[in-house]
Amino acid sequence: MMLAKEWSEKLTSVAKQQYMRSPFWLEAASRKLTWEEAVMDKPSIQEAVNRLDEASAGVLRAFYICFGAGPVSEERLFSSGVQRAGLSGAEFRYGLIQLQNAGIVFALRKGWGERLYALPSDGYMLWHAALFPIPQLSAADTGYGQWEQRQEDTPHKSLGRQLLSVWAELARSGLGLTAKGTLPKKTATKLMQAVTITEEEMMSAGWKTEPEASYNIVLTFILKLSMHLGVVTTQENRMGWNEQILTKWLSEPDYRQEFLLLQWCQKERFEGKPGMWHAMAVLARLEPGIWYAERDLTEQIKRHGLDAIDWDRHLHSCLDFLRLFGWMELGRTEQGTMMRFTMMPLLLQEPFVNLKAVHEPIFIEPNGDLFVTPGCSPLIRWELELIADKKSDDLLSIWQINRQSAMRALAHGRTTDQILAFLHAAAGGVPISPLLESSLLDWGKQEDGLKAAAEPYPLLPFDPPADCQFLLRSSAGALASCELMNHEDFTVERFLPELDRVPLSWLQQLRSYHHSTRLEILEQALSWQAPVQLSMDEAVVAFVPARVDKSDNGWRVTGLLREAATIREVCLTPEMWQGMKLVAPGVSGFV
Amino acid sequence: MLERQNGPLIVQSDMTVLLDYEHPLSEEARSKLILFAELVKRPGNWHTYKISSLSLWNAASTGMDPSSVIESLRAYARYGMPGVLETNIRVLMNRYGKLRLEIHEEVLLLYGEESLLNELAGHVAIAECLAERRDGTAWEVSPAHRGQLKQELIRLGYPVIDLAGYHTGEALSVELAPVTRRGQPFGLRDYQRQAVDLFYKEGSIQGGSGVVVLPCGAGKTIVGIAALARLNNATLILTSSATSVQQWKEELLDKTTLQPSEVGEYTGATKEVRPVTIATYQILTHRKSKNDPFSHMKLFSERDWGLIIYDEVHLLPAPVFRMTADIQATRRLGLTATLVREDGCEEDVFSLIGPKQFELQWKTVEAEGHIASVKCTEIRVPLDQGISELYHSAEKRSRLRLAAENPGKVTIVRQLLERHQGTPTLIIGQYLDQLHAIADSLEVPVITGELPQKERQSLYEQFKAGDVRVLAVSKVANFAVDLPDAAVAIQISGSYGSRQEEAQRIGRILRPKEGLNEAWFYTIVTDDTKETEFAAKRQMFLLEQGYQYELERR
Repeated sequence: MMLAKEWSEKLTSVAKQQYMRSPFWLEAASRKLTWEEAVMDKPSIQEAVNRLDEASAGVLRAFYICFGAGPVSEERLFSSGVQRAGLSGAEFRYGLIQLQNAGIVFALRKGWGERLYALPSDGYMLWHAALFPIPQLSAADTGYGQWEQRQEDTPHKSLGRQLLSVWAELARSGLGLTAKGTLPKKTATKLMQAVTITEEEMMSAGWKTEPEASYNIVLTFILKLSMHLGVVTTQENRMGWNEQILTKWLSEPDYRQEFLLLQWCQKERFEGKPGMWHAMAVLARLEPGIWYAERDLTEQIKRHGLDAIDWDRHLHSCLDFLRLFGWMELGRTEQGTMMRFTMMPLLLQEPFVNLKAVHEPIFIEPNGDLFVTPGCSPLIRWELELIADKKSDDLLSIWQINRQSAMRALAHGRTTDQILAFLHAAAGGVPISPLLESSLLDWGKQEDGLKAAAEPYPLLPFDPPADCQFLLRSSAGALASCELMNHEDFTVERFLPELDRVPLSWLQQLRSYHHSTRLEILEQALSWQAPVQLSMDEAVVAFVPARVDKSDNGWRVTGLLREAATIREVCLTPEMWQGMKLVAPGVSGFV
Repeated sequence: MLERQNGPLIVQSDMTVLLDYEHPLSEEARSKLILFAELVKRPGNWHTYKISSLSLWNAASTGMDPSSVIESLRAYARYGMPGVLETNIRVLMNRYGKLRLEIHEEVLLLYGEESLLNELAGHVAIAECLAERRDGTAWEVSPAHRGQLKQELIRLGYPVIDLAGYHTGEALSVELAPVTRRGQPFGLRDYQRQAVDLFYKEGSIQGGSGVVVLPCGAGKTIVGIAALARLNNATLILTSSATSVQQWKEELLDKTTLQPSEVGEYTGATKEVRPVTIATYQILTHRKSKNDPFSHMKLFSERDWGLIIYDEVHLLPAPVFRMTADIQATRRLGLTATLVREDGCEEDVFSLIGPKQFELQWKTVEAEGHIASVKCTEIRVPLDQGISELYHSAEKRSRLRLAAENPGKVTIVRQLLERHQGTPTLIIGQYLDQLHAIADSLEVPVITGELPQKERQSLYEQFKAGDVRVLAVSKVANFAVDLPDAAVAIQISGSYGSRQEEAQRIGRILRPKEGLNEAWFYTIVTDDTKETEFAAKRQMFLLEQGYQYELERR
């Protein structure tokens, strides 16, 4: 799976400009949006979906339901997708081409003759909402009598905060590795103590132990993620910090960190699990901070026919997943399970580029207690981890700077002046209590308490440059090495061979033909996997032939008859319709 | 973070509540919060409160229900209310009232829902206290196990409402005196009367046991005396030290109609058992060796006490708890400035003494002028040149004493005495040599443990009379009898590690003062020495108690 930015890097600027010439992007293009912007822009997505022709819409909906964000092989795409979309093969291919020409779905070449199809995974939720519109679910009635939230329903500390705690512990414990190239057991134990997630919870949320892993499942996950983000690197005999990337990461406001982490976790957990993608996209419609009843959601999904692919199981897996990383909390009432997002979908409802980080200052008490509100910058939290002792990491986080913590920081390279300057800045310029300042100066003088430490703590700029944005890579895996296919490869002629040898009247006129011509037209339709139009009892219907059976008495055709609201398999003999027309999707208009 | 509103409270899922004291609604929120949460510390603008099962049961005992607690938190919460906390509040508060102890046809019965009784009876410690089962919802309890049962049930998370009543005890005629024996008009302050009313509850079985929480200097002793006068029964008063025994005795004789022959002291030195007897926890828990019994515990049964007062209930030692479990039919009043016990035995106080009946916040008492406004100042002085070399070459363990006895402190003491000339002042020190040296240099009398009691009393009298304006005192002053007119305390050395010592020392100057009602508590510390490390601990304690604290460097 790859993110929109990564697809963009694979594309030429010419290709991207060509995408924006697709009729689907008419409005977006008129607003001078680039492809990269349009494909992640909620209004533009809605406009594009409104402009999709029936075939493209059918293909895209089938793709979302059957394959999530992909990747999927061409063979599987057509074998499952065509049926799900209720289209003929030609219509499906036509729709797919339209989507490729607009840069909505991409095809990649993997080895000889094998094609993969995929779409930008970070846009999945936005497109899903436009493709499967359902009314906003009503908030649950919170006047229930038996409200209960057990410990196992509460959200963990958010994943971003968990990472920060582990990294801080790593900084405090040291980055040295054993001869086997792993962290010492003592360090690993301490890192685990910095995390609130348990192995059991991790496994119950669907993560699997890696056979060759040196650590337990939680630490393996955290370290893998840390490495992927690029914050921690492995060098010879030790780990190291990439301070530039660490600064970029910690400069991101916490909600954007969580959004990026969600992207990565979805890729890790949902690849090849379209049911999870679907359930997640449905959940993402819920307003954050509002309690919803699971029962209401499931009823709504069933009412709109979106409960395919084992809905209940996938929904529960998603709830476990979201709670595990602090993005959702659960509750119990007599009405069943309740759920509430803590923060996650915020970014799915607002383009996050417009969400400016508003960092709240910390509050410093004269006794060294440091109160940190939820809106505090992660960069500040990082420094607090290194100079103070964490007392609580609840809604309000509390650190305390005391003699031991200050001496530890001094031993790891901080100076009293640096600590004082940091505290002053973190408090938004509010002067520090003279008592605390005096204590810090006292501790700085108590040199006998200082022990020389080998590794100085990373010292990050408190006020990083404005353009210091963290770019998440998807660890695209198989896709990274695949060659992106040019959209020129997908022309109508390629899937409608010998189009020019077909009589124009077959394509243009709905009229009566001799039975033998009717058979010829149907055989042409079969070779293209295209539908035909039939006039039957004064009604015009679409028919997708599947096979022709010949007998001594003549022939009959079996296929799918598409009427106003239903598709059904029928077996027809030539006298059962009056007129007919061959439909070449994208050429003869009707699909 | 999603439900942000402009409230003064931050409600944490671990049952901690932070109050932003600078917020315009803080006072309003605080008045609600103290009904179901205990103040832990208030070092600056953020005050930390803790909700616990006990604080919730104390609230429930006053008639609060879970919804009103939850609504109070919701109304003022800045970031909403964690669901798990809401659940905990409901679960814990709903347990209050589920179990009752009552007397029915002269039999002590434990009442509760059948399923709950079944579940609880499955615990060995509970089963030991239970006798015959009467029916599904009542279980006979041996009266001897009344206290033990309550203690065990609360350990399992179930408080019991004890409505089994009390025996009256030996009658004693005693009244509060409108004028003290020293000729001062005397009457209860409104909050003191309210505290007694809530404890007494018109003599009903709903009252008669519980704890009154008042800040230092707010007159806890007076509340105890008024409760005694209200009940008119023989009373055993248990307190924390021999000097405190003296203090109680003085107050009883000064402010009631009791005669000296009716008030007995039961300490290491004196063993008088009289209608009102004052004893120390130490003597009750004294025994010859670890395996011997506590022979003085017999005091509990030496008279037919109608009331037992537990002074400084947060210091009540474990053996006294065990004894108290056996006397649950006697009325019990706990007095304290804090329900927080350093040994974590708060549950025993709740189950064996009773729920909190009354609490008054320090700020309220101070605002009404019943205690003085204290300003704490730490003055840093450089190490005297004369001992600097000695200090730096000394063993680490000797350094603290050298720094504490820094001769440079004398100048500061002199300056402070000049600053507060004419104001009653105590100079408090840990080391006798230092204390004598300073006293000689300043020509002030010294009170130490070496001084005979008679001479001590004489100096106290002179100090109270204003004939002596400055007294140098050793740690005997920590628990010494009241020095009501001291408005300045200058601490030249101390152990600094003990919270109790700090509380006692500051308590010396909390009594209300004439005029601006101000008091000053100075501590002189030698800069850049070991002494600053120890001073930091006391600084932390006083800050967290909410005292105004400043630092001066000389």
